[in-house]
Amino acid sequence: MRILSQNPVADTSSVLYRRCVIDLATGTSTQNDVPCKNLEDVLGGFGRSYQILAERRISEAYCPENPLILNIGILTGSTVMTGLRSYFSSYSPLKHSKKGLPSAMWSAGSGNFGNKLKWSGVDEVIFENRSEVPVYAVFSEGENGANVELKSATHLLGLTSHEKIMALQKEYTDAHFAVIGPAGENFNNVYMGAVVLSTDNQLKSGEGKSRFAGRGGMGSMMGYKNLIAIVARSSDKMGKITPDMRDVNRDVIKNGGSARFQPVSQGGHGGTWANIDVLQAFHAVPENNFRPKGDEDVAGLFRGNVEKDFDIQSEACFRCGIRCHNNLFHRNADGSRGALAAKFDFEPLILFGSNIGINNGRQVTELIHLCDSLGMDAISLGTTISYLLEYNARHPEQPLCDGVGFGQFDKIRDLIVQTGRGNLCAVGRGVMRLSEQTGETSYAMHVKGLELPAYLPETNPAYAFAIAGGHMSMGTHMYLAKEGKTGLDDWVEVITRQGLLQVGYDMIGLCKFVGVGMGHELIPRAISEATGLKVSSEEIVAAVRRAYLRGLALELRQGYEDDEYTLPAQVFENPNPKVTLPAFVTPEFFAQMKQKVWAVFKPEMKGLLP
Amino acid sequence: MQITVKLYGSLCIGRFNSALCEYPDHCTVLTIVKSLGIPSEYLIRLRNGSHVQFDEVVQDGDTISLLPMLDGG
Ligand code: SF4
Repeated sequence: MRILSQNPVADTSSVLYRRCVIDLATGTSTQNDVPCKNLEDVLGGFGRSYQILAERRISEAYCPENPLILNIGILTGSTVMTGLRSYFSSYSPLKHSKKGLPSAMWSAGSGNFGNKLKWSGVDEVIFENRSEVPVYAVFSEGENGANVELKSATHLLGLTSHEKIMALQKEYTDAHFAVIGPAGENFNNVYMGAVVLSTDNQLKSGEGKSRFAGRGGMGSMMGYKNLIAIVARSSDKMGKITPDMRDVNRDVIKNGGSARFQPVSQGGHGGTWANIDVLQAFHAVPENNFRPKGDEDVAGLFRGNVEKDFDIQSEACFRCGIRCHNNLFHRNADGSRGALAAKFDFEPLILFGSNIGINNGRQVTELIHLCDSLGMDAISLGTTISYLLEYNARHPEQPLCDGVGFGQFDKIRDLIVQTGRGNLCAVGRGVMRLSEQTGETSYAMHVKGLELPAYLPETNPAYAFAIAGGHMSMGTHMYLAKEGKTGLDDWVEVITRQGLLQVGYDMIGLCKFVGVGMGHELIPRAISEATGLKVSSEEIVAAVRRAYLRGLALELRQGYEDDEYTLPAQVFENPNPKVTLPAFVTPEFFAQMKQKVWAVFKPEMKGLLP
Repeated sequence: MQITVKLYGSLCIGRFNSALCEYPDHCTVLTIVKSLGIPSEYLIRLRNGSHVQFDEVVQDGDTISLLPMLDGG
């Protein structure tokens, strides 16, 4: 990035980012410095990539004209703690409107890949067209930006995501990697392929401790483009930490928001895993396809119980003091720590656990590990499987997929392998398509074609306004549990003021687990200290808001109709009395909420698309 | 007066899961939180299962539940 003035709002074009365009069909690439058009461009991530996507009219995801955009945020590669995110954006093979048009999507991941990409000399890569043969792209730091090469990836085909990373590391010892698993390679039958990102810890230990840009099938897009991996090579260019930056990082750690994700031993609450304790207090932990039973079965997945079988280690991405990863290790017979079993975050834990009828920690770790190795989005896969299991429970006489049922570990494990290897498109193409095939859509847990994360839809009507994943792009999934609010105006306010700002983290390059709102003074302070740019909180909030609304406008342009801004019909038709949180999402409430939210958003959306 | 206090997640560590506690009449939720040495930031408070503010006055026989306010990811 080249920064020619300190005031990016007065003159956005004084900030230029280095763009590399690679034509995978010809193997050629070009690079240039692109002046920013607006503050969204300056902040980066999806705020920038969506403007590129908006310039294209794409009617099917798997077409050469659909670009895959890899970029970073303004703080990626800086000394701000958690500033290491990379973003993948494209029109999604998974999420689509009922008209059949693909929705724009982005997905974000941690690890150290984003840093290395920036340090190699590029801020953005647009992969155009598709390669005839499997290739991987290598970015190496050069005199004038990055040197770019495309190399044959034939030797990587069929390997798991971790195996690919380890194979590439043998050749590139100074690099970090973004790869796809077998799922992405089988893009025609798996639309939920994830991009798998290497971590320092993984490269040092040889254990599969990757991070994932999972949502929306960006790994499947890589597969379609025959782009099997991306290698970012550079020396470590982390700048010197100034005293003011030390203060910024101290505040990242000390603000109560991030403390929630820190290890218990560090005074935190132990990462997202602890959500299970909180939600279980309301019987709101998803069980058997988002249908809590009102019992205590999920207790098997509480940390205290899992700890009996595994060693739990709090670990982190590159230089991050939040240390939110809960990695589980097997115990050897002599009690010492054995091999890595899996990472335990709330989403995979629930979606491969209680939500498919499995409350045994050992079994859950195995399923998570499989999903990760095969390179699939845990949320989309888990939620599609839970639908299938419910379908079978409702149709014992004519079940699908060998009659697999809730809690049947061996059969579910086989299902995951078959899906990841591309042999089971019924699951691999996601729950919306599967439910349309079966004709039973009311209990298919998706909104606008993207599977729901592990928070019940009856507790979050704002899912309808999430633009790129239920909890990653609308920060309201815990609002009811946290505040207990059920008023119409409360929900309209939280959606239109705070919830949408969640997406700001997917612009600036920091991790959401920093835990402060986009309007917090820490954000402009971090940007100023890292780049010298002076931007106010109000200007950042306004840019994030525009970026979100542009995403919403893009959804509408891709054919989404008003009736697609809804929740799974079961929420309205068959409320679950076992959940002890207030049941307030009636059809009337929902219709009024939507009307009021659109009344705020629609006027502001005008003019945001080309 | 006697209040049943329930703690969840990491709040139990070094404290308890559930206990019957003695508090002076007319005390508030905040009094209870402070008496337990729990930081009041990022805390879900329930009185007899319903969300309450810190200044809510509790009554003899109430159950006060305190939960860490987490988030997703
Ligand atoms: S908060 Fe967690 S995911 Fe984010 S950078 Fe730190 S360790 Fe990685």
